[in-house]
Amino acid sequence: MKLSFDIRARLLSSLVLIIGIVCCPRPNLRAGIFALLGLLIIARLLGVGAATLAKRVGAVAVFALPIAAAAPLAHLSSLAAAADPGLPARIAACYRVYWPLAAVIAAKSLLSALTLAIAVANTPAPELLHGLEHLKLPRVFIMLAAFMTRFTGLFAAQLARMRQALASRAPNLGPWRRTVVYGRLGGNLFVRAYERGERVHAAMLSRGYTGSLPWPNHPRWQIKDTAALAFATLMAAAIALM
Amino acid sequence: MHCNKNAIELRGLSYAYPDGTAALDNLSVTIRHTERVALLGPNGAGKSTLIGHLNGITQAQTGTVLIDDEPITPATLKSVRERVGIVFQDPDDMLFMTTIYDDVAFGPRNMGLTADTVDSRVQQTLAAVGLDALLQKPGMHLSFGQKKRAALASVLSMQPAILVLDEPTSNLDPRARRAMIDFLKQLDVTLLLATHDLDLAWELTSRALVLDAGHLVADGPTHDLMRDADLMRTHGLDTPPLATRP
Repeated sequence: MKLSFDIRARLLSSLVLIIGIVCCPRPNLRAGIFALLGLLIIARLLGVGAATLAKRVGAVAVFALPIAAAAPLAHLSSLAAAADPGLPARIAACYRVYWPLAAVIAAKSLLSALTLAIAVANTPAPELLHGLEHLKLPRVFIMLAAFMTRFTGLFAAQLARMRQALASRAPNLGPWRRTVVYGRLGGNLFVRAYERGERVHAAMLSRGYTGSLPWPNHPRWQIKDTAALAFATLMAAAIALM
Repeated sequence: MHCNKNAIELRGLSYAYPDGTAALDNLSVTIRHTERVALLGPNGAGKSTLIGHLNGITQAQTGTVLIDDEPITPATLKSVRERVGIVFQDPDDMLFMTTIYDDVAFGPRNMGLTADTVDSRVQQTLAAVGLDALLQKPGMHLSFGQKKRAALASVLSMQPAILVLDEPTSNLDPRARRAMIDFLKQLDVTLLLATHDLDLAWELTSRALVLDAGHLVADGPTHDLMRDADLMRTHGLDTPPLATRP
């Protein structure tokens, strides 16, 4: 059985869960495992594929894990007061003492990313934007999100075309040379994607677009949505207080 | 309903790009309802710029654009965009939703139609262009010919009284091109075709406007203008094979 909820319920529930995860005061393995298992069960019930989740959490991990890994180094100066022989030893000492900080940042960010990925998986961008609009988010934010959604696809399509053109004329580029060429193409790519974005925008305007993407199913809040939000609140409280 | 009104009227329309290049220069034209008009001219003549003015995508710098005898103003913009459908040259610019269904439904939904009406219009339009089996496919997965038809459907679903097409047959193979021409032939709308496909213009339109460097250099019956080899050559065009047949 695959459950479905109003996009507003999904967004609000994920927000509550993320607050619960972030508010967990200290390194707590039990709370982490509880949150992870709970989220995986929810993903299963919503019919969200593991590959989709892995891809989306992976995209966040690329940024979150280096930050988490570097976090103990923030305490380098506090350890410097102690009589340590040199920098490598101080860094090692930092990680010996503050590794839980790195683990907590990594766990919280990945669990938060997982929560959001579950909430918005299987949700077309227009429905998501429509949900945000119904949650009374500022219009400028919705507009920015809408344009980013559109621009990302255009950017990817433009990049694919340029890669094709490059591969057809320079099939034997080495990795370093390829990196240099891509670096030079960056600006060009941006301009091309921007121009295409302008043309798409003109096509949208000519079909009556006035700033909000039309979505056929006007969200209807139902009892099951309230139940989902209540469940998320309880789960968030449990994670935070465990 | 429209017989006493002009479909499109341009009065002294001029437009210059930000770098000062004049794209349109004091253009005045009237197109009646149910007319089928070709807009001809070399690259850079101002055809696409002119098209952009017809439903307010580009705003007139000088002069006025009237649709059904009403000037395009912020107050009339919504209604004008419902009446004037523009199909742009590159279908990839027009297919931006996740499925063909949503692309074709985009216009009707913006018009505020009910879900049932939108659904019926989408089904009808996609059936008319022969894409009803592909309605849940993303636009990017279609062939170029199918994309062209989907882009046309995305505008036809709004049931505009005036249809403006920018190069509707460009990059189509002969069979897809023929299918497009046959489809356009049976549409009961006011038609303005910007094209380099002179055979298409010969076959589909009864009147032609020739633009060159932003100036309207000729306005008359399509067949007469196209038989004028000097006129065509002077303005970067060619005489289509059909025009040379006895």
